[in-house]
Amino acid sequence: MDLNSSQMVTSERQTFYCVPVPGESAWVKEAYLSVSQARVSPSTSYTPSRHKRSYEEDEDMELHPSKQKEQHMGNIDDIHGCGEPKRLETEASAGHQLISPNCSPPLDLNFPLPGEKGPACLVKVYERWDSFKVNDTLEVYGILSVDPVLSIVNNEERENASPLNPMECMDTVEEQRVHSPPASLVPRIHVILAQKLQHINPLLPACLNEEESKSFVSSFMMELSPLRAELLGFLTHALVGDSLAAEYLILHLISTVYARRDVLPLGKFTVNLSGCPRNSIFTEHIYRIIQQLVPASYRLQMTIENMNCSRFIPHKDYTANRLVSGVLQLASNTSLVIDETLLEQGQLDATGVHNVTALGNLITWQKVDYDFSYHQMEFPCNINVLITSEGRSLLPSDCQVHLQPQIIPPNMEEYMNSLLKAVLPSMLNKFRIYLSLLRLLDYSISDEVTKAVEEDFVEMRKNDPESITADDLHRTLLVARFLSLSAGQTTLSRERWLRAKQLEALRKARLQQQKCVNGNEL
Amino acid sequence: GLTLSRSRPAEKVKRFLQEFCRDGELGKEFPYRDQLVSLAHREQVALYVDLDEVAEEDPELVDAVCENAKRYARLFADAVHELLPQHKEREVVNKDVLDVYIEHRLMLEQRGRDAGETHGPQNQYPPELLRRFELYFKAPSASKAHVIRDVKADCIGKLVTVRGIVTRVTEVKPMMVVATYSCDQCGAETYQPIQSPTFMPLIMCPSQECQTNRSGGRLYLQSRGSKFIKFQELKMQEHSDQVPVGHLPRSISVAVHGENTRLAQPGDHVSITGVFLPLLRAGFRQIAQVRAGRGARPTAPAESWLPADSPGESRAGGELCRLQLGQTPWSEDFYDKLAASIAPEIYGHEDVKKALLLLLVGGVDRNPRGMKIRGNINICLMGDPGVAKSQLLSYIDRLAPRSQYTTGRGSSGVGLTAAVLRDPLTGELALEGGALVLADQGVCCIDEFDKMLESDRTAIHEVMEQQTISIAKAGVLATLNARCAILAAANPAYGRYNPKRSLEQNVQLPAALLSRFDLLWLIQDRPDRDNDLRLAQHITYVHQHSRQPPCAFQQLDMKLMRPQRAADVIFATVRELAGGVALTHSPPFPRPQRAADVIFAAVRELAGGAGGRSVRYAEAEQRCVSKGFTPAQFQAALDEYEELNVWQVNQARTRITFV
Repeated sequence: MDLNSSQMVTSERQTFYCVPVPGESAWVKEAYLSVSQARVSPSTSYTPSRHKRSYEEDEDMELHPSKQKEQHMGNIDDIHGCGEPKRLETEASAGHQLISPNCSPPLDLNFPLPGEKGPACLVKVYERWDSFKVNDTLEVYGILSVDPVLSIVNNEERENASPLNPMECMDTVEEQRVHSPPASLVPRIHVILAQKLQHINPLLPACLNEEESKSFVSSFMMELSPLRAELLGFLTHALVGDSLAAEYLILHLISTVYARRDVLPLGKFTVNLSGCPRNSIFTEHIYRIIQQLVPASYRLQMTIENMNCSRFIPHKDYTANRLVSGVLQLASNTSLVIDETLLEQGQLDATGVHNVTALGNLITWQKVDYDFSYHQMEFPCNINVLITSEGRSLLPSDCQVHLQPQIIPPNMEEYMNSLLKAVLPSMLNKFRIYLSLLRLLDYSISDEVTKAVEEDFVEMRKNDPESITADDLHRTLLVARFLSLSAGQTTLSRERWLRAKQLEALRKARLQQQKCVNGNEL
Repeated sequence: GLTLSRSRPAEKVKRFLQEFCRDGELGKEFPYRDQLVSLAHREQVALYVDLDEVAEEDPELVDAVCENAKRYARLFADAVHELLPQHKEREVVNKDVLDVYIEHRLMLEQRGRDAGETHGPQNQYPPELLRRFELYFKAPSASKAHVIRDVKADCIGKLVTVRGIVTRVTEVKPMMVVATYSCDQCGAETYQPIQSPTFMPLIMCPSQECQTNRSGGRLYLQSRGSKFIKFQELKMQEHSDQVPVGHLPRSISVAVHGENTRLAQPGDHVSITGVFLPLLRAGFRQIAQVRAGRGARPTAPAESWLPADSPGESRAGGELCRLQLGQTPWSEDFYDKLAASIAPEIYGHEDVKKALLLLLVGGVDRNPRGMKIRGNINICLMGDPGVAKSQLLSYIDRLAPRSQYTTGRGSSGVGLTAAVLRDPLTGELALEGGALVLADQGVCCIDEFDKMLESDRTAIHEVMEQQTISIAKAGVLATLNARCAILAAANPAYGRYNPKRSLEQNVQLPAALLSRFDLLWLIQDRPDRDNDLRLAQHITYVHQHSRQPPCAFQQLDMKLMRPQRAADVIFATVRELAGGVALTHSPPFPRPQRAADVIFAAVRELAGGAGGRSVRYAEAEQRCVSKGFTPAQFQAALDEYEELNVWQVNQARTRITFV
């Protein structure tokens, strides 16, 4: 090979380290699995002939954990043969058993959430990778490479790595281990086509701008209001009969950061559900219900031990030269349920304080400061945070709703299980579509309504300057936004604004009431 | 044709090295010829070829060097090697074993040539073996430093300059350049130049004697006769300001040789010039091309701050901003404009924003007669909940080039000051700086100041007046610098400001602490129809259009705002403004004053304090003369402050207008 030839063309590729969407709900996985089985018969012939490029520039193999969405079989018809579905969990796990005797310590696949399973993979992108950022969800088609040769040679070389060779010492054993994991464990995918995803709900068309999906949306919008009532009823039952809390929960579940203005994220709606019973399975069941409704979620148990022992923020490990993931590295629109009812008295150490600060930053600014030890870097995120607590949460929140149970079921476990059983799977699927779809709708406020809102605010301030602040206006506008969207309306109407105000008043009255109760107790 | 085209650049290079001259104090100086002399005398090892100087002689050559740096490095080295004997002015004393070896070899070669003996190609001395100098290029100053992510395949073989932060360095190790073997049968020496990180040692003697006799001579490596150079590898990572939002910083490995080793430590900010080359890996790794630079030249650490600092604005960025600043007219409302550009998403609070601007710009420390007058101002924002105090703090935290954001409640074990911690790995005691130390020469934003622990509050006393932190813990006695401006936010004692009670009761901070704040803002949330309406309009606009309402004037970009603490001109300007606007407590001792300052104060007074805008020229002069200054002094003061852009004098010199 003549490296100096003028006809030699050099090109680059970028390797991304991808993991399945953290916290992906079981129903999403199942749905994709059934779709892929129904439509595609996987072909096992893969063609390594694509290595035609004589000279590839590997970008230093920096780990770049973008969340990877598994193969979605929507448009696979164009790519025959080489498009092999990547959802091959069985193979990956079999490979794991094979390789584990060779691997001295088990390889850490660097999942953000503890206890996650599923294949991680190295995705090699040959063009237009600049648009892929950390934490994006991607869908990739490509050539799967699980050549066992890669791992064997790698293992041998690791053992023979001579200390005399000066070049080898730069890449520590640790780094090599992490960057060239056995192919059976972390398969390589050479990308032919990759695209970013708006959402990961399998029940929705992948791209909402297409003509076909528009009809889907409009037909769905037709039956929106009975559906909303149904969902409200379902959630009211789940929240032991509290319809106001259920209303706010819907608003929370369809909230999303739709814009950022300098430091200010617009559209975040963190709800603090206070008044949850302590040490009961109630919060766990609430999470189970949310899990059934949203495509990705995680329940963070806020115990002293949890706070002190794990690092929530991703940090760069310079010996292994990779970003070690943390709980807060989540894809957009993941529901994070923080359970504060589990918090006991105790001492938070430095890590614990950092974690609490990180949670606070996440909620207030929707950003996570990744730790690069020499400096921190800010990564914007879009995570729906729901805090369940007994009293007011120690974390900041946009709005606190105090739970007022109407029914006290004798056996919570049984009550919740029967509730989930009672709802039809088709209805559950509609709920899922509802929550994912409404989040993606556009929304506007007319000048007329704006005027009215402004007048209203001035009036409110005049009557009650003590308790109405700019924050209240912000919040009420948000409530009005999500209220309109939840009813399928994409503009704010006067009625919705009044309804939002009414909801806020109800919520505040409850808090006031609660304060009085607590005051009496003291 | 081929030999000609090769020799031409070689000739150019030789000519440059010998003939490049510049005008010095003692007539013409030949910097490279001088250096060649010291190289020949073994007084100097590294020769840096400044491509700027090459460009003066031959711009084409510079382009060629940048395009194909490795080849030209060899050409330059060959040229130097050829020229060295001419520049030897006296006998050189051998410094080490290798020098003795080289001398012997040269002598042998001389003798061998006399005898007409022919050498096999592997028995000839490789030029690398006889060279004791190292040659490096200094990148032309006009070329822009690359961001690591822009160093791509098209840069291969080219001279590139990259900036970044060093994250890891290896030990300095010897790397073999020429392996020397001797044969156990015929005694002939064999040389093997090595250009890759790994090599296959020779085993059989290739000399003519052994070959013809078939004696099967074995070669043995002679470590003393081989040539090694120092070798080190660095990993560098992009600065945080070079990374697009949402991307991870990339890194690059750099191979450093010879004199360039041991110049950088992890955490240093460096700019490195090198040749971007693919590196062949042995075995399976051959597939994975890893990048490595050569002839790297780390510059001195750009900033010698604590490791946890944020790097300063990139130099290129700084220049751009200065340019923009130059274009931004020094209009009368420049100060308003600057202030309004702080946290534009927060409505109103113009005065508070002006104060924050002053805090950002800071002043100059003065030390008259050993007394310390700090240049920073400390501000406390006390206000009702919901007046966007935290947002202001957060904005300042993002805007200031060096800042720390902390809350009174949530400060960790290290807390605000400093802590002595035992390193879990080594067991050594280490000093770890808290927020105030990390914000040295910057801004420390403390939210929820009222909820701070008593112990932290006492520590803050020292910081706010002495600008140092003394700690005496676990046998470590140290005084750390904490020259930071403190921006605190606190809620009033009763949650809201209670107009029925006195100011002291509402504030409820210890007097000693309160007196250390130069400015205390009480932000009260009072209903006021017009204000409320404007506030509502602001908020609804943001919700309606997802952006800021249009402003009376173009807001300045955050990047443009940022480097101003470094710009000396504005430094002084706003310092004076600070004096004019709202320095609420004056130092209890007389400040030594210059005539110009007194004149400024007098004119300021004449203009009617902070509010006035302009003064009649004649009136001002009259006032100053009556105070005992000469008109010349007045004129000088006028020019000085006009230069600082504090005021402007109109063409006819009849009016002084404050900016």
